[in-house]
Amino acid sequence: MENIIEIRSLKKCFEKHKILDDISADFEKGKIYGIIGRNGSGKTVLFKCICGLMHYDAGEILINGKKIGVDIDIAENVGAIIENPGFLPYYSGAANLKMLMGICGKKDKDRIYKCMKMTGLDPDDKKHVCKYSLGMRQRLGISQAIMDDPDILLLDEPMNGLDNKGVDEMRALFLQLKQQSKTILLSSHNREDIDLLCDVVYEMENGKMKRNR
Amino acid sequence: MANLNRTLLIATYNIKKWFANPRIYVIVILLFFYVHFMESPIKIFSQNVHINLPPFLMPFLISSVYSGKILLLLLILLFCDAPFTEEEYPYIIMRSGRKRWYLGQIFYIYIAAAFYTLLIGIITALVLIPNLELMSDWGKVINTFAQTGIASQHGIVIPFDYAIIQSFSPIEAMGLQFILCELIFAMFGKLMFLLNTLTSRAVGAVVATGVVFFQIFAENISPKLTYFSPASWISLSFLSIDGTGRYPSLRYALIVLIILNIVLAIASLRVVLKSDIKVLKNI
Ligand SMILES: Nc1ncnc2c1ncn2[C@@H]1O[C@H](COP(=O)(O)OP(=O)(O)OP(=O)(O)O)[C@@H](O)[C@H]1O
Ligand SMILES: [Mg+2]
Repeated sequence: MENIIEIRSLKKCFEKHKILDDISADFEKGKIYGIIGRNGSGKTVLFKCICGLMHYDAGEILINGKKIGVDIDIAENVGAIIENPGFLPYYSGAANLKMLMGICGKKDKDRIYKCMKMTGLDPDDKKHVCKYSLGMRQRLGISQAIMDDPDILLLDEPMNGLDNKGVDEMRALFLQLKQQSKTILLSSHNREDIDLLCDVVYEMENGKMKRNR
Repeated sequence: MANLNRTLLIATYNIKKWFANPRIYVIVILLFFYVHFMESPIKIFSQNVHINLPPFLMPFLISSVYSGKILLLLLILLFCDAPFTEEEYPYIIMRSGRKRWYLGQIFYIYIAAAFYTLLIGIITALVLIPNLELMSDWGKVINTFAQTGIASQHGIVIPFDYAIIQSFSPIEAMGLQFILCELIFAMFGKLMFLLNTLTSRAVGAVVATGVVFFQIFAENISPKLTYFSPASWISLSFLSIDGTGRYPSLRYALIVLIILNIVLAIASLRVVLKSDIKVLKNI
């Protein structure tokens, strides 16, 4: 299988505190990878480095053969939800997604509607995002990640705030995306999510990342 | 063209956040009260003599010793949230890349500076209602103020510099004032953007306030020092219009401001490309 993400000897420190210490891993197309680890073990930092939002100190990250920080500054073809999803508070969910899509130079209302429906939101709901519940905001974050139809998805604790039904729906959605040959990196503190969804599991501890399954 | 649209969309994203931000309303309200306070003796004078006022008081208002500082302090309040990276910023930069995101922020700074300048212009005219009259010349009241000492007898603290009336038509003076404001405001915005990206969010506001205080120091100590105080050049009275006075010439001010704007833009770009930009709280 072809590797879509390659990480080689990646290092990242914050004031001598080694968060990522010589991490290497390959991620193949069409698989779901679980990243687990205790709070503060560096999962979010790893995701930010892969996107290009955070610079790393040494090593390299290749996305589709392009080196982050050298060939490209921000990863292309990657959808992500990292930490709290942030939106313009006084606009509806659909309006927020429309603006974000516009930044890519695209305009596709049908796609936005479809993605919102896929995550269980009503695209015609005129309610402002500031009035959304935590789970609705999270669903909108997931719609945002998938709407540009990226090949890679970086999902940092995507089930945050979702109810049981929501969790089931998202699990089904992620498996469906895997069928479409998307590569998903998923961090989660929920063992069931990891067991059910992931083909490969990595555990982060003391700056190292070792394969668990 | 499509690329320009994408960049503008990033810039307008920041503007869309204004409506939900109490800080913006505070700026508008404070500005309104300040201008009202400064102009009300003029309005009373105009009512007493039954002569209306033109909408061109802005260059004189800004010439007052207080105005330059107050307007700049309010501007610092406007840009204190630089580098404008709240929770939605990762979603934007992932779609635009760092360079376009940076360009969007620079566009935003210029657009916000223009809005702020326009707001000052509009409020200086609006508070004159009902004694406001559209006219194409400076009008009787301003001419009288500029040529006699009558203004100070009526408690008017705005200086009506005769050199401005003599050298410029109202449209020219307003245009020049807009250009000076835009360049100085954008320079402050970029300075704060650069410092906040490099360090933390408090630093930009503190240094920018320092620049405003240096202005007070420079103006009081010596005209020579105003050559190093770009904030002073917001006032046409602190520039020698014909290029012969003790203060910097208009040409000098415009050239230095353009150079400062370019240097700050290049420095900010380098910092944006090199540093990790953190997600910050909305303030
Ligand atoms: N911008 C930063 N500056 C300094 N330290 C940071 C920064 N970002 C993260 N860290 C530190 O890096 C470490 C890893 O943080 P990270 O957010 O990646 O943890 P995590 O594995 O995602 O934890 P959680 O499960 O709680 O989400 C923490 O010790 C954190 O304090
Ligand atoms: Mg995390």
